[in-house]
Amino acid sequence: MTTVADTQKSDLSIVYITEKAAEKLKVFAQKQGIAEQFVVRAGVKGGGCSGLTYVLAIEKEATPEDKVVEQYGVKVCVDKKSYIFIAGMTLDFSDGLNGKGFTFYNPNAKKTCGCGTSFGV
Amino acid sequence: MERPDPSGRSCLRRHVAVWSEVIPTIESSGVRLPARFGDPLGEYLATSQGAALYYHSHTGRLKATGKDALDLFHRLSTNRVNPLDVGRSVPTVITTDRGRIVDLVLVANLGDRLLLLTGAGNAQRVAQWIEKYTIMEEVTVEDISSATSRLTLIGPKAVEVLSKVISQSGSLALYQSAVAQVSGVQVTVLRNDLNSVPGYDLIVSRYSEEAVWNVLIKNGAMPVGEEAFQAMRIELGVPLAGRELTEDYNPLEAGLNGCISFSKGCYIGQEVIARLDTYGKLQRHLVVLHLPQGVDVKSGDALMHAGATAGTIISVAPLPNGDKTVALAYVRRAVAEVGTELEVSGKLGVKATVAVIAQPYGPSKD
Repeated sequence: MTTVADTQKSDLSIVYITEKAAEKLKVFAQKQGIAEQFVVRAGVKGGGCSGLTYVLAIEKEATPEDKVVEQYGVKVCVDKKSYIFIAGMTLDFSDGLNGKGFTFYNPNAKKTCGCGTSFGV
Repeated sequence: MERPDPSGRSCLRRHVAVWSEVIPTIESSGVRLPARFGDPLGEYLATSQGAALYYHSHTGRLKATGKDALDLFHRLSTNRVNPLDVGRSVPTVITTDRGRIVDLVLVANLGDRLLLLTGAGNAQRVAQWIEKYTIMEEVTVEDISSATSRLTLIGPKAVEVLSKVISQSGSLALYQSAVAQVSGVQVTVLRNDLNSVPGYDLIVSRYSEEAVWNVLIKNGAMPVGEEAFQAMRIELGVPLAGRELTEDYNPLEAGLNGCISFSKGCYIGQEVIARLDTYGKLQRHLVVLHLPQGVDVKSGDALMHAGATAGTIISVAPLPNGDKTVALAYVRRAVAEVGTELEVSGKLGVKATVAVIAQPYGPSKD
């Protein structure tokens, strides 16, 4: 099981998700009514207080240009342009009273903004 | 006021070499522009009392398409850019992650595309900046600066002149745009006031600029050169790209508060700008200075107060009415108060009085 601690030695060629994140994503897919077949798109869009912003979305399927990795029964797809910014990243989920929700642990990020959604390289 | 012979002004030359045979030119923002068309006082007065026509094409124009364009610009600049209704535009500052100014841009939604009016010489820079931050978004930016022209009509009589040519001009609210036909030429009109002075930007294809220019002259617009334009905009406290608006400054000290939204969320440099505003940590501010007529003062001159350095002069212009010299300067916050007298370093006895704390776009709206 990949934990956040493992990000130290992460292979910089894949995007990881933890088991907790995978479980939560499956719940979201169910809410969207596409639990049978879905992919999780992880990506980056420009702007945001540190320069770049994470994108996380549940979609029906990946496109031919995406890089796709399957972990804990969840397919994660990343478009080519976003890939260089998040390769080696781990997506985790923390709930509970002090939970932060989906959190991105990105070894590429040199700085991150206070709210956690924006980062800079 | 006698109108000099219009025939010398009614032709607009695209080529610098030909232009400078006709009228004196001046270098401004890296390009040669007409200094004056023959009646400097008349031109200056047209900006405050009449309808002044200024050839503004040396500024940049970008065309942006793609479903994510507004969203991307919203995350790259200080103002609320998304949503933006068709026919409306918004002035916004593109900032670095340190909250410094890349450029002040007017983003206009023309329906099938966005039009970005950038500062002089900044088209490529802004286009590249946007491209750098376009990752998974669908956004395409095209530099249309040399394919188009920008003619700016300014002054209290601008709407009167423009309405003779484009009937719906009178109903344009600030930052509203419309598309019209002038002498068979398609023109995009944008209401874009200069501080409190009514102003209209006419965007046309470069090929058609002369036809539109001539029609406006025929209907009462007076062409004004760089001298009159600079005198007017400095007097009004309007900062320009490459002069007061550079990466050395942040939008708050440049007085661009009206282009900043403090409630819109994340954009590059947002945390820095929010902190500056919350903790009141502005070190300096842009001000309009009044100096006596005829003083030898230039850009870069230092300003002193009580024996200590207090600021730097950025732009200077003598008022063509001989009344005074006006200047734009960044001065230390402590002396940025109307009425404060400063001295110009190295120019014994020359006093510069703070006349206006520049805020040409008004205070922040939210």
